[in-house]
Amino acid sequence: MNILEKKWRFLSITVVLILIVASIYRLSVYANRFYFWELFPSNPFAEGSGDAQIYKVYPSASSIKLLANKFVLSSVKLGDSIGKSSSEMYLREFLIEYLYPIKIDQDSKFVFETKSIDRSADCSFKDSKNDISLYVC
Amino acid sequence: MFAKAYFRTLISDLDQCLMASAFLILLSCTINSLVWIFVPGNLFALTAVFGVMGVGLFLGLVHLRKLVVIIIFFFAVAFLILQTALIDWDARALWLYHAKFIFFDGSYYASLAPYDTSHPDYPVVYSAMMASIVKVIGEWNEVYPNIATLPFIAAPVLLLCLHFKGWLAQTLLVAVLILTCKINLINGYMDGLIALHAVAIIFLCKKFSEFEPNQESRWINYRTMFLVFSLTANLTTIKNEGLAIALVLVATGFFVENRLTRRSLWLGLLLGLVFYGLTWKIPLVLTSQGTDIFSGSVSERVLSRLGSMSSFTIIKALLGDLWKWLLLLGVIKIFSKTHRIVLSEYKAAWVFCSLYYFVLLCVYLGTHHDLAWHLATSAGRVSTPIAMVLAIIFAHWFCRNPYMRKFS
Repeated sequence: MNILEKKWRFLSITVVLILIVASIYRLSVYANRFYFWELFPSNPFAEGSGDAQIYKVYPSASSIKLLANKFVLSSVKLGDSIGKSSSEMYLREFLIEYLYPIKIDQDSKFVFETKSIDRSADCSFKDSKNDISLYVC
Repeated sequence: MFAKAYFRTLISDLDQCLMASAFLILLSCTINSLVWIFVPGNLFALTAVFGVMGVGLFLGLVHLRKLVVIIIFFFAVAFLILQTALIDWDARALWLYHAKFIFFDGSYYASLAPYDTSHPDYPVVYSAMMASIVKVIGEWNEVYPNIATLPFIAAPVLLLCLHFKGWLAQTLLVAVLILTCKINLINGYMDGLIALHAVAIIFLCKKFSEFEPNQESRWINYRTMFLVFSLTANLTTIKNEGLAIALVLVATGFFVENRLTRRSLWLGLLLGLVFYGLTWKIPLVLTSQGTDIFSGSVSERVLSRLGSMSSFTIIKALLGDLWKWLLLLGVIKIFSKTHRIVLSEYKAAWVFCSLYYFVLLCVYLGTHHDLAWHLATSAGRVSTPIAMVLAIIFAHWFCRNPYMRKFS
């Protein structure tokens, strides 16, 4: 093997290794956002107790918990009404999407509440996960 | 007899196998849209769609030993996609939501109905594939539809393998795809997918230009045309940016030197655009839906931004990750003495990058959104096709060095 071939061997192995390490690092960073430890302990096929049995809740309920973690606990407190203000728009859109095919009236508001407080007298219960219930008022 | 001979060719020739595999996968995505348009949710038709896709994927497995890195990559993507429900904005509020509309309302055009929908004008080929997966499973599910990403990744990646033979070259290809698409490969966003389709078209033309000499006796290369058509049909109906990319590719066609390939590219693009027009644009116009990006006084916004620092802000934001690949290619061009990169060899790819960068620049100059917000939320994603073309140019050039060639 001449010097030129040795140079290309060194360069090829170095570049491919650097790119492999960089891409594995990238994937490991992304893996932090995945929640399989939350999804798979509960059977994804298991039937939930959703709104009037229109469709099965799990693992939708897992995603609502993710959304609750991501948006609700940081910006909206339990018991607050989620309306159409710009700060609440993103969460509202997600909830409208999440609940489809249950259609939501444009003026109605969403409320997250702890399970110990029953708001079914003035609101319509939609779904619950762990200690959080979702109502449309 | 003919079928038997053709099957033998497929088994023995990797290139033929890759093209047939990619074409069947792309075709299954296109047929899936037609199924939801003409016989919504028909299980027999959907089974046929997945049958065609399955045959396509199986053809990839025929050359398992030569594609082992790519197949591991597909499994890794599938594993990561199936880890969780989608939690990002566009992925949920657009693509998954539209899939829900198609599944529950049983219509390809359900998202055009007047209900609280985000961006009803966005095409739905990906959402239709999601809806088909849910339909076959039997009931709505938030996790399993995400696997719809896989066929949209598999077809263009298999076509790119026409240039990347051998495990070392394919490892480089996979690394480059991960580094340019980033999380958009697996989080339910469409930007990585349209970038892959665009790159596949450009490098498919390069492949045919190199190996198919100008034959005046043939007016068109049907293989190129059908592959470009199936890629364009998906590209334009994945996301609105796909239409812009397809139009840029039409202009790029002038810089494809091989006349036979150029004609085939244009005809393939034309058929793909006709498919887009008939299946999406015309229904969109009939329901008075349209993109809002150019609403209001566009010329005023463009002029005011051109006269301020905003234009530099846009140029800088769009450069994003591009500068790394540009720098790498520049260093190679200057310092490599024995294995030079020939810029003219990638003329069509350079032209595509320049034109698409200009298109993006114009879009941001004219956007009615707050510029800072719009750039922060999308500039990095929408420039992925340019970054990927630059990265694939680097990888393609690098794979032809004397050492890497030994592994092909």
